Amino acid sequence: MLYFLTKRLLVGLLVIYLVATAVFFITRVVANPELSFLPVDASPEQRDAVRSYLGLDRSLIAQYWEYLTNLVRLDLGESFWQPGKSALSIVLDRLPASLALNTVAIVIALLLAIPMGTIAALKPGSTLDRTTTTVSLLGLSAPQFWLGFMLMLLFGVRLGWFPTSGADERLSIVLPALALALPTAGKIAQMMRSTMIDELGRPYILTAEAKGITALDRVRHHAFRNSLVPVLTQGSFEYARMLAGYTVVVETVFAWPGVGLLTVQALEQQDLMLLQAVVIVVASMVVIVNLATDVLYTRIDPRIELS
Amino acid sequence: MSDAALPIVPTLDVGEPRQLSAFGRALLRSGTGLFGAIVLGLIVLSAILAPLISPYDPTKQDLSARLTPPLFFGGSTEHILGTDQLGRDLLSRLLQGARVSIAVGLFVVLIAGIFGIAMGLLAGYRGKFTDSVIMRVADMQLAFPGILLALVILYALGPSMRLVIIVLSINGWMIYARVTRSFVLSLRKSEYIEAAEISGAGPFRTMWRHILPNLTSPLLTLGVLEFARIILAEAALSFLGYGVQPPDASWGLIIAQGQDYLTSAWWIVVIPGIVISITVLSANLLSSWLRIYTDPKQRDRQRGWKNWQPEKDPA
Repeated sequence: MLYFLTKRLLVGLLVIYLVATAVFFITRVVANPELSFLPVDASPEQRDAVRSYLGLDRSLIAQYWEYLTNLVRLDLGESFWQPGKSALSIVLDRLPASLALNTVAIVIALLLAIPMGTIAALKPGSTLDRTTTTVSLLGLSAPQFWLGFMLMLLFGVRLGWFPTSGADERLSIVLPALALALPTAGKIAQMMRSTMIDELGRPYILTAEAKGITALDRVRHHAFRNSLVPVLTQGSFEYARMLAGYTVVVETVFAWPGVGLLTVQALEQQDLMLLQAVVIVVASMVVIVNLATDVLYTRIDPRIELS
Repeated sequence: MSDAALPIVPTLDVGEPRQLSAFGRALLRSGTGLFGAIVLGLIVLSAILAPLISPYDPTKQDLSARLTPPLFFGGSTEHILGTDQLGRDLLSRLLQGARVSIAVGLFVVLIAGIFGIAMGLLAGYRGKFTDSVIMRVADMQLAFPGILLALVILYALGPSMRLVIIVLSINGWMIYARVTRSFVLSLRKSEYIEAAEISGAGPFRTMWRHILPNLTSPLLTLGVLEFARIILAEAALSFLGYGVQPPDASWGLIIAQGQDYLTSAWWIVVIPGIVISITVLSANLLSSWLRIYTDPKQRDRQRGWKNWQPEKDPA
């Protein structure tokens, strides 16, 4: 167990290192960081001046080495957009908002998906099954950002139940969380359904039936619990995927002040330092979530041993 | 060796068309699979024919007709789906957007698919060191924040449709590699592969003639499913402004440009979203039908767990 965790942790650190390296080379070699400080018609002399001010005129190896040593000390440089503030601190300020949004979203998704998938699995092929399966397919087929606008139109503009942007009110989280949750719920519901059908076909369920345990109890006490293991694992991978991508779009739609919106702002401001910090922090979060999933896995299901 | 292969040929000749027509009949019988295939076919067709059937030039502005609502919502037959804030015909723009989405989807599935399948074959067949290197790289890439890195690359190199295709392909090969590898690992030990190897088939021939044909249906299913995912990813990148650039149209971009008019001209946002959802839904329906049709185990499962039989030991 300890051996496994150490190994996983090392792989995680390697992933973060590779992401950091990729970002470094993309932002230094491919893009021109100095341009964000200069007017469009800047002369080559002005560009050189800014390049040397930023330390971009040194050899790439020297820059990369400095970048890595700073990374180890958790120094990700100073933001271009908000001078004087460290890029890392700006990202960490925004992180709680994103984590809150994602957590609410995944809870909603699981609360919707688990009952839906279970009900569908009870009678595969029935009208109820077909209806829930179609609804979940519809959910996972809609783009999150568009779902966001639809929720905004219906619940924000037409009905006026929830605020449509920002995070000033307590209820502001509802619509962006729903926009994130619905497609994920569709995915998890389908998984729940197929896992449940598998479980209900296993010999131990037949034994339970032979012993006279009612259908409700067979589902409730036996099949349901076993189905939860893969479904919850899927849930935590979905959580990581939300963090690593979907939040960017949804936070943009709802002006939710999280890391996703910060990404778009950093791109608009051409703040490569901030962008770099965002990517590294998000990669670290994904690594942490995946590691936590592995550990949870063994806690929920003692049959599984990490090796 | 070639003598031994001869008698098989006639049965293959008879078998294949029959299989194909059985496939067609099963598709016709299935409600959802047929729906998916027809709708997807229509969308692909309209994307191909877009320049011919498009009522207007998708970039032509007509400020006097700006924000015209769709027919049945106070509009006219002149612009069936209404116009946008610059008076451009929404239907024409959606048709152009279809070209973008379908092209990106197809190219990414092809590029990522071919590369991923090659990697999966290599990993599964060579095993050992090759296998662990390829699969480690795939694992690590799966742990990457994909969309984020895609955004950074698109930002740094300047967004374009070609780059979107490249970035999404780099991002999508791992799933094909995994699926292919797992099948190769289970097939490698089978007797007919051993027989092929004993009769002198080299690794390339074994993979191409004996292993790959067995992977057709799972890979086809996966390809259609990935096509759906890619359409969504392209829409998201375009929505953020890092896909196709104005004045050209793409489904995500139309929504992005219409978002300021959400309350006054809902159709600019609502209609493209419906089009995206229907396209993705059709691909998902087709893919799940394919999965069930091509996998007997899945077919039984679909009929219900009461009929499900645990696999019997052949001995």
